[in-house]
Amino acid sequence: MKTKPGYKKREERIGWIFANIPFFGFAIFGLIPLILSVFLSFNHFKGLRLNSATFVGFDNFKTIFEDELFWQSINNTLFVVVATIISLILSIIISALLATEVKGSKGFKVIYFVPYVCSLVAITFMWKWIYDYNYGVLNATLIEWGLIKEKINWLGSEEYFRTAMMILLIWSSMGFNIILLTASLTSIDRNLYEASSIDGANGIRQFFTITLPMVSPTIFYLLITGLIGSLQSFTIFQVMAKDGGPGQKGLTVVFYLYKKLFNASGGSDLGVASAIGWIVALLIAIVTIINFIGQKKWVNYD
Amino acid sequence: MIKKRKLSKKLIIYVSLGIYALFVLTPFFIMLISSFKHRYETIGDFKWLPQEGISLEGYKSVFEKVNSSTSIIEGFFNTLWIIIPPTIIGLLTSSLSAYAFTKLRFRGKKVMFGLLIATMMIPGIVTLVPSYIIWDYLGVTANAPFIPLMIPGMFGAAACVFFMRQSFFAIPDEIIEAAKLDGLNEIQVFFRIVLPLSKPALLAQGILGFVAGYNDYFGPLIYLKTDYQTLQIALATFSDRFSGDWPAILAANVIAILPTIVIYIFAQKYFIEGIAHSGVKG
Repeated sequence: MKTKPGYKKREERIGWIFANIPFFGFAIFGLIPLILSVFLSFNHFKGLRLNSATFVGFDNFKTIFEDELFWQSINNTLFVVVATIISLILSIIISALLATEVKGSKGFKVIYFVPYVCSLVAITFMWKWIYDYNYGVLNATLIEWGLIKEKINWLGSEEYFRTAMMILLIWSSMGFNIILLTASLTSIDRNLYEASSIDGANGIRQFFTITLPMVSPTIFYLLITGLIGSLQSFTIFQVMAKDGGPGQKGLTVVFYLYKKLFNASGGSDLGVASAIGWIVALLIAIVTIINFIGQKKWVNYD
Repeated sequence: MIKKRKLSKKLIIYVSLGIYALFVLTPFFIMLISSFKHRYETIGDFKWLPQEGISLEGYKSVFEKVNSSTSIIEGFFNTLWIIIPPTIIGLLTSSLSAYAFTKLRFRGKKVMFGLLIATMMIPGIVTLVPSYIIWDYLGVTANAPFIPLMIPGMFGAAACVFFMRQSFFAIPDEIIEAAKLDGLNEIQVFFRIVLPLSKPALLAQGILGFVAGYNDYFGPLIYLKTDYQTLQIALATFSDRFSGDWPAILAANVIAILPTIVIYIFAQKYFIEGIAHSGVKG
């Protein structure tokens, strides 16, 4: 057989180019903006014009930290984080029930995943109708069942807006968790359960001693991705309440950034918007690091 | 005694799963029936079913052309035009990258893969503002605002590389060696052997990518400032304009989610596999 000279070299070159296509994309559309973002955060601009830059040091960050609305937006975002954690806990319970493999559990799984497929915009309008103060199904049903006497202003009062959003957030996020959790649950060795049954452990005990430790890597993955996602949540809130909702309770930190970038009344503040981006990134980094440190205590990689 | 306990345990499980299924489905049901109501029926005491027969007024409003802004139908086609090229090309480039990482020999492979995975750690929110400014500076946002929504995705995505890599590992090296002995070069091996053997994985990633693009709201909201809008933006605009006209709003929403629901019904397996395998273990 003939050996082709330079064949290895060709493979080496092709391999390197193919492997790095996504990285080239990142270099152009990720790295360049990332570097520019540092510059933007420390300068002041007139409108969106890059050539109007004046160096202001940490002034943009100072402006943000002195703005009460920023702290309100952080508060609102933390509330989304809470919703994410509740959603995860409920998903674990439902997944554990599905894993008992009752008849029809596949069908249930198919149903639970439907919200994930639908656009957040459509989902938000759907729930807006359910929550409608005058004609919505929720108030009508609660009154009919005698649970409330007066209609509740779900989307218009500071008191109830968060509750309404929490239900919507949980409703829309559980399907994804359940799919991943059940995939991981079905890979658990059934013998483990039989062995512990012989030892006299009941279902609840087994859940805590076998099920939870075995799926802990998946729970950890869902927690990390869920937290990163919730710190950047925007769409549901912006579609539900363009003005930020009652008492600005719907203004998440990314929504706050969006308003600083495309503010109709006060003009765009490019420097401040960039700085908010960095603050969110820092928050994500902190949350992720804390999780990776904390995981040693509860995530089981056997 | 034991049998009875087992039975009641099963019952509790069924009831819990059933209640949750109802919680998931009821909103869709309410949306669907309300979209077929007469408008005057939606301004009054809530009734589950239409009392005065089915009305198509809501759906008619969706198809009527209003002013100069993008209609739901136009938005649908704009969306397809904007998301299909990056979905397909991105899938191809991600697969090429995954192919190189699994089946080709070259130096620095491990480092490069590590770097690629590290890029996933950078949250999109940091690059959002500067990216917008660069496109704006280049005049793209004014003249061809859909470009920033299309081009970056064509280079592939680290998460997709990761997923395809898992699938390519399953292809035995012997097949590839045999093909090379038959005289196929690296590129031919990729198109004739590797890709055809990975159809399920490609479909899973393609469908997930398509649905994510179809449902995207933030990207188009940032970049598309003209009358050229995607479906999700057109949907939000339509719903705001028809505020209070619930049958019209809900009809638009039904139409908007219909394509993804249909895809889900027919490609369920790929959806669930695509997701289940993307996250577990690393």
